[in-house]
Amino acid sequence: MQSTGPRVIGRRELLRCGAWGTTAVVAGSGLLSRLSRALAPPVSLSMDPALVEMVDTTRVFHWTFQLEGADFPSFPGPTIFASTGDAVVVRVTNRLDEPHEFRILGAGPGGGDIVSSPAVLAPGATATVSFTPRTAGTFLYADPRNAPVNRVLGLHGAFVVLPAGVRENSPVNTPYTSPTPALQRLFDDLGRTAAFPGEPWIPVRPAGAPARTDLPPDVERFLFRTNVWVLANVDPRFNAIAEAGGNAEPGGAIDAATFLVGFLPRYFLIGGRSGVFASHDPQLLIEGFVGEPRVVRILNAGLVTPSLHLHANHFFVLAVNGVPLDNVHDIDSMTMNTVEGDRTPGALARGDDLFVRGGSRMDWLVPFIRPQDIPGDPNRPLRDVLAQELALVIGDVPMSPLRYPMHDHMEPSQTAAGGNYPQGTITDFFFLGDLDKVPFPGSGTPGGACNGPGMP
Amino acid sequence: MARLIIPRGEVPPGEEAMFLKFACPPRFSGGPFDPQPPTRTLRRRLDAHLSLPLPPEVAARTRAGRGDITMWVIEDPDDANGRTFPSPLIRTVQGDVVHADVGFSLNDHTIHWHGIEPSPLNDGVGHTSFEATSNFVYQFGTHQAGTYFYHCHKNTVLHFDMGLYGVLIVDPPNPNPGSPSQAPYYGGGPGYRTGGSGFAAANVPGFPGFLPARFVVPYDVEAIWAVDEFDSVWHELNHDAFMQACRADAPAAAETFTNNGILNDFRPDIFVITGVVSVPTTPAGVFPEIGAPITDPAVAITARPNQTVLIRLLNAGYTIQEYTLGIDAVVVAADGHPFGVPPFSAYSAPFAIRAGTPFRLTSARRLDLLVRPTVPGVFPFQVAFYDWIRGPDSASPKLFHVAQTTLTVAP
Repeated sequence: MQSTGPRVIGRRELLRCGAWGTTAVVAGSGLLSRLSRALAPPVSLSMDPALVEMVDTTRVFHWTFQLEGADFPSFPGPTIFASTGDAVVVRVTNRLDEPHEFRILGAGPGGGDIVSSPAVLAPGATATVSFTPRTAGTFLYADPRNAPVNRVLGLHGAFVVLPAGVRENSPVNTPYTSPTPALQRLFDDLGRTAAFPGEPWIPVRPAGAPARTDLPPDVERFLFRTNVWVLANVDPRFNAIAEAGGNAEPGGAIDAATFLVGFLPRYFLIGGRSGVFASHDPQLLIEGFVGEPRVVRILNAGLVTPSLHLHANHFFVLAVNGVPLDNVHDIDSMTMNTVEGDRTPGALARGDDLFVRGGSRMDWLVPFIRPQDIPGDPNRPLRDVLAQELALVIGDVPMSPLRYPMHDHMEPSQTAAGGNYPQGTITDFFFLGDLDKVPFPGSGTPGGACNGPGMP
Repeated sequence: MARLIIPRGEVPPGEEAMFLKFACPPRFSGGPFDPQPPTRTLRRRLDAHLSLPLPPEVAARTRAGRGDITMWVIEDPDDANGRTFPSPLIRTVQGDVVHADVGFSLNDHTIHWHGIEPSPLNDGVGHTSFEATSNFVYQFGTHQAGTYFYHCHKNTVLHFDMGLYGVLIVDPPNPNPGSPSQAPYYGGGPGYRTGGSGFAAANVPGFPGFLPARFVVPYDVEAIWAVDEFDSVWHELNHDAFMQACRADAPAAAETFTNNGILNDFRPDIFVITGVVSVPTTPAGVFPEIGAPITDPAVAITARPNQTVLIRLLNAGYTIQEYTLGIDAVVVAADGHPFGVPPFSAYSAPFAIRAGTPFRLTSARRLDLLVRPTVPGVFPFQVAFYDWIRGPDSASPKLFHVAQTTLTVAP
């Protein structure tokens, strides 16, 4: 493919706040028809080359997915939402220079992959995935060819399946088709018991709640109390080989075995962003009032093993690789695995071993309880208990609302180009106010905020 | 060849201060803010330097090529022996309100109390609050008995590796208020650990003295294993190594970023358990190194038959650490929170790890395990340190070192 020079996406062409790199789309005809009058067409993606700008402005070549009709590609690929029982159709066109493949990993019966037809896409060819998901969960779609090269070079994205019957006032209150008893108890307790005052987990934005304008309109309702984090790592040396026309095909300039042994990432991404930009991305950051629990779906598309740490709240680990856990622990730091690690022969983890060793796809419940180690009368609202703190301005930045981080505690992941801490796998976790939904002083309301609450 | 460019994001006009604070946290001091009456006060000071001597077999093969390694620690200024690595243990009681009066000198630092959940001002994260060079009184509660740790959160990738951390234990009160042994339980035991029901389900020998109604189980002997590794080359760096430059007018400008750092490339060559260096018995250049069993009483455990031993395990490093115990264990807590104890941990239960079954932790995770040997013997313990990019499940695992110690059981 030849053209005349790099084209930088103009500011006008970006969605507001630049939060466009993680577009999302609804795939299942059934899901959308229950929620709006329009039927969703099949999802059409293409595989295209692009330059992805790292946090330090270095531009690195990637193979990316582009949604048909979008002006620009996505890294990671757009999140696809569907529900069980939907007739999902995804069409993928290979606009790269070598063969590629497309699968939805682990989304098939018995945890097998959903494979496209044909399985291999020659340059210029189109393949189709057509299936009906039976099990709700968090899945990764990717190019599995020459694993892990093609996936790590950019061809991956999230595929989220919600339980059938998801509607604005749905009785479904967990993200799973068959929650375990402990999971069901937890979700039943949210918003009902003294330990979890406030609201239950709400899978889809209720009709009466205002839509967020800083998220893509067709899918903002699915991100109401849900986040999707796709983790990736970049070692630009290999991307440069691909940019020069190399690939991992036989005779290609990239050898998958060498890639595995030599991969040393210089950049660490969440939702295609790092550091301060990831911390300001409305699709990535967690924000809410006390009593607004959130589900976070986390996918590791890279090669490193993360140890994700959340401040302020312990989180509940709900499921590993789509398997809801019988034993639901609340922890502050979590081990994940890689796609390859999940499939190591003999690594068929079960039960508690799943919790200890982790998987490439893991779901959290962030309960949004009042941080338990703020001393003072628990019956007084936080705006009174923390009156001095909330009034402080330090470094020209107000301490209101309450802001904490989520980050990978394998601290080399907090670097970019070997330093620049903490411009790596990190995002923000905001408490906007207490149970009474009165925003903390100086805090804006959620939804309309461009880069976090309180900002014009 | 044309390429579309996916940009990294923008700095919205008017938000430069927030973006600057991310890379260059401001300085602040004072506290406690919104003060509550403390039930426990403590003092700490950082940073303090100490030199950790290396055994000859280790010194001969480190990349830095020195006979010792420089550590930065958080010292206890009120203890004549308060400059240690790891930094001195902090021990509080469940329900305490703590005022930690921290003195800072030399350079900017913070203290983050990992797993403890206070307000942001007391959470010790620079870019969401501040960094300190003079003094700050942190205020936090310790509402849940368990195993935590505290560490500096400035240029954490370097400072945490340099040793700016210590263990923080919150003890449950003794269910017998008249007992001479009251929380906090210093001295390696006996003491009490919060633990949920479900020991029968774990199908291992029961633990005597367990009080389900109060969710406490007594232990006789306590071991604290803070398992860590260092990159000796990193220990030659300065406090602000490879940090981003600070430009208030253009906080994320390309020229503020350093581009030649090494802090993504962690090459551990020294391996420790609770500050004790593991000495390789294998020749230099052969991997994995196999460490001689550590006998230092800070690490090696001694107990009598039928005693309950509590092992508090922390991954304080950046490798995937895979542990194997030579005795059955019951895991009763993770990250400070005890399984099965309402209200927040009511959805979990203790589980068993059988002798000889490897299990792993990644950075910052803690597990509390109970073991109860019934016969005399020497039970081995080992930890395998794997590269975080080429871990045990990789097609090509990279195993640096295996450290060992023992639980010796004698009447």
